[in-house]
Amino acid sequence: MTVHPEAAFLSGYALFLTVVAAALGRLGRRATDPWSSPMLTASRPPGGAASDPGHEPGWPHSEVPAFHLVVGIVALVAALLLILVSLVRHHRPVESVAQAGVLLVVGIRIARLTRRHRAVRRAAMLSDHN
Amino acid sequence: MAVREAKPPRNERVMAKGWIQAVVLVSLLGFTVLGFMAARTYQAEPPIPDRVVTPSGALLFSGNDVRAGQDVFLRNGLMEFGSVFGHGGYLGPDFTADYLHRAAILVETSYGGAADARQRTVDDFRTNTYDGATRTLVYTEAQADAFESLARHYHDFFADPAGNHGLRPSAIASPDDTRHLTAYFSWSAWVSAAERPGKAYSYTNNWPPEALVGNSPSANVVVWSVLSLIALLTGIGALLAVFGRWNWLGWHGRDQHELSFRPPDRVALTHSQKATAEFFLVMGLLFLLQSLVGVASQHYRAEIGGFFGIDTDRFLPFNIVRTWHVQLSIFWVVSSFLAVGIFLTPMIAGHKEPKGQSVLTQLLLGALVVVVLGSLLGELGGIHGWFGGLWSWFGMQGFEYLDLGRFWQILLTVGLVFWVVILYRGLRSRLRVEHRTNMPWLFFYAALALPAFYAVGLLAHPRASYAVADFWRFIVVHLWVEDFLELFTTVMVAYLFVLLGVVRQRVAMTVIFLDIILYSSGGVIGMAHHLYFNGEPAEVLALGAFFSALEVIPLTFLTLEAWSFLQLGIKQESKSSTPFPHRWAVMFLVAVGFWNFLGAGVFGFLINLPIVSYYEIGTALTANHAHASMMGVYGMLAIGFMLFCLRYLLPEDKWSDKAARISFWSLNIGLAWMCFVTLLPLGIVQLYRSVGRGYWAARELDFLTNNLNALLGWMRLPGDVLFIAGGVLPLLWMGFQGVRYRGSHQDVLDDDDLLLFTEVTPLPADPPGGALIEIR
Repeated sequence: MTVHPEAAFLSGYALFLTVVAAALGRLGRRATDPWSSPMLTASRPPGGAASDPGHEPGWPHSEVPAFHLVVGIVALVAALLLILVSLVRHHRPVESVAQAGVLLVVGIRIARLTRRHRAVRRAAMLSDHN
Repeated sequence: MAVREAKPPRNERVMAKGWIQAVVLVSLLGFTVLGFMAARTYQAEPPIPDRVVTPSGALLFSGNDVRAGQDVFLRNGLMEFGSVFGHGGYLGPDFTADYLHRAAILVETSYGGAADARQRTVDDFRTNTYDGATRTLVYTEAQADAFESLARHYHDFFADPAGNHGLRPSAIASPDDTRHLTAYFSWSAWVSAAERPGKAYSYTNNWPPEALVGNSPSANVVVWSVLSLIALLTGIGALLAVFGRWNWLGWHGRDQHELSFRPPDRVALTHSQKATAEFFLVMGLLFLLQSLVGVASQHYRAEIGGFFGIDTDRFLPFNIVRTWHVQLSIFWVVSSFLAVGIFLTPMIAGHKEPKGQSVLTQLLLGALVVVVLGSLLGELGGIHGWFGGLWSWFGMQGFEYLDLGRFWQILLTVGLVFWVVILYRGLRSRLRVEHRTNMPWLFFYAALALPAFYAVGLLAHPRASYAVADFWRFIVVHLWVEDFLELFTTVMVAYLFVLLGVVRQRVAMTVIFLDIILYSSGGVIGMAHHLYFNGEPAEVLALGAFFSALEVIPLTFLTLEAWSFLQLGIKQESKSSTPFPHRWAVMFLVAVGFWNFLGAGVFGFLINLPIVSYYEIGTALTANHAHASMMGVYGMLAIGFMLFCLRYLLPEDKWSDKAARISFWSLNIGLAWMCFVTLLPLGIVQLYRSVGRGYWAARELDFLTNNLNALLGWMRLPGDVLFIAGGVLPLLWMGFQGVRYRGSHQDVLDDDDLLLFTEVTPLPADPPGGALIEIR
């Protein structure tokens, strides 16, 4: 029993969007001074970061994690919708099982990113008030 | 004897000579190579034969028929419906690939369809039978028969009274016109399959991919893809190493002076600044119209037959709504740029404006409205043939992005010159006392470049051959939009931060000089990445591939450094005793950073390699890049500038953070939705089909409107509704409020009324004159 190509494509694309959202989520976790990224260790002067190491990010940097997370959530909601529509159109048993699996992954990621987004917003508001 | 008044001394040069020399050298190099490419375009363009004949010598069509076909193609707006050589609209077919595929099938069928028939077909199309001495091209009998069949096919298609393909019913009913069109398509197909003299690839570097005629990626396409990847990786590595390790720019953790932002309602405005409110209202209206016609053009992909049962193709066919969508994307963004230039001028000049600035500003707005309305209506009239022989002057000139008639194009250029005159009047006294490489002059040079490079588009004449017209067209599409608007943007953003006191002039100028060097080293020559397959020689492909890959380096680097730049801003903000008034303008700049990286960098590079472009050109992946970068970068910038100005134009109690916030999130979410739900997946599906079955198959109407693609089109609807209702309408409301309350602001009585911040402490490293020089 095979999966319809459309369902296979939309499932694959939904998983790809999940990876995109995860990458955006990770970006949202990092300090927004990109020179402090571990990826650029080799590009920094020996023994120190290029930026002020003790600096707490303030506005507008405090908004950036939220921005990345919102775009990540948009990608996930898009994935969710694409899979739901695909499920309505292609729902033989094997297709249903495969798409339900993708749906589950997407759903879990949405819940996680939404929680993170709430926490980030709270932190940003606190930072603004201070 | 009269004593001549001594000229006031000029302020000293801020930047070291090395920076200036580097800018001059890199720009000279870039434009020299560009000149070389222009010369090669004229030398190596595919010939248009005087006569195309059968083996017996009977005339099939002439060179004038091909040129007349290009006229029919342009004046009917077909480049906004489908494309030739992959350039144009995305709903209709690519007529080069379409003709080539259909003709190859007919030829192969005429040879019996067996194995040797395939080889004979390949030989027919690849063998170059053009005789340069007699300017005659000989088609085989099978090719000549295919031409006659296809002339009937295209007549049936364009003269179809039922429509149902996005064009208006009976769009082109004249048999002469459709035969000329067929001649044009046939010539473009010949160009794309016949081998260049002395080469093993066609005039278009073997584009489009078409197995029936033996078109597959040439060695140049593959090798320069690999080399450009290596250039990219090496360039990024080198740049990160140099600028990160040695901290050349040295702006991390500097600027210790303290300041206090003046509340917006305490900043006085000149009459011309108040007049810019009307620009922002017009900008909002144009943005709304652009979004609505964008929705209409997208709707054709979801429902080709009409708009929820209404036969929109009768009065607003796809080619018109897409033309308007493309033209308005430039108009509304430019409206904002013109307005913010005028708005900043008195602040840069640092004193009251000369008399008449306000009148000139309103005249400019009037001229802009005339050009916009005139050109849009002209395009509509153009496809209906209202202008007869003057179609290219007042109607649809037809080149994508240069669709407006030449009369309107010239008026727009004159309008841009007029705008520069307004800026010069306002800046004149300041320019007189500044070194010619200091910031006020950079602002003026960047403004001057806009009319200068827009005017180059006038060389893209409808009677020019395709490769030549396309070369000049992309000077506007790429060099004007991607480089000189980018430069003007960088200067304005840097100046905004200087005027707000959050960065020093030297830091801002370093950003500007770096921007010029980085973009000139990749962007000017990289313009040729649009010219891989339109009949340019292989060296243009090589230069385009190599240098356009380098364009990603400044995008990456400036994204990294933009944060360091903004970091300086927040340090200053935290020291100010008054709140920073431009929260939402800066948030739009944050969005610009994101979309610059994703839309221009990632989505742009995704389609930049020749080997990828070979299969994907003219698919939704191109649209994906175009939307994410044009709206994501220039659109968000234009809105950021608008909010910056409106913050001063609107009284404090009329300013709405809520409206700005709603607009910000709605536009960003709507744009992300558009890319993730429709454009990117549709582009992937098209790319897959192009590689698997051929380019023609990825562009055929039946495929584009099939179940899956229509579904992806429909799913864009919630994002588009959010974009317009939540994103555009609040901006329009704020623009309206700006006009309504623009008179309530205090007038400028004293030069200090124009300052945006106060309490500046002297900077030890500053040039003589102290902080006042820094901020002006």
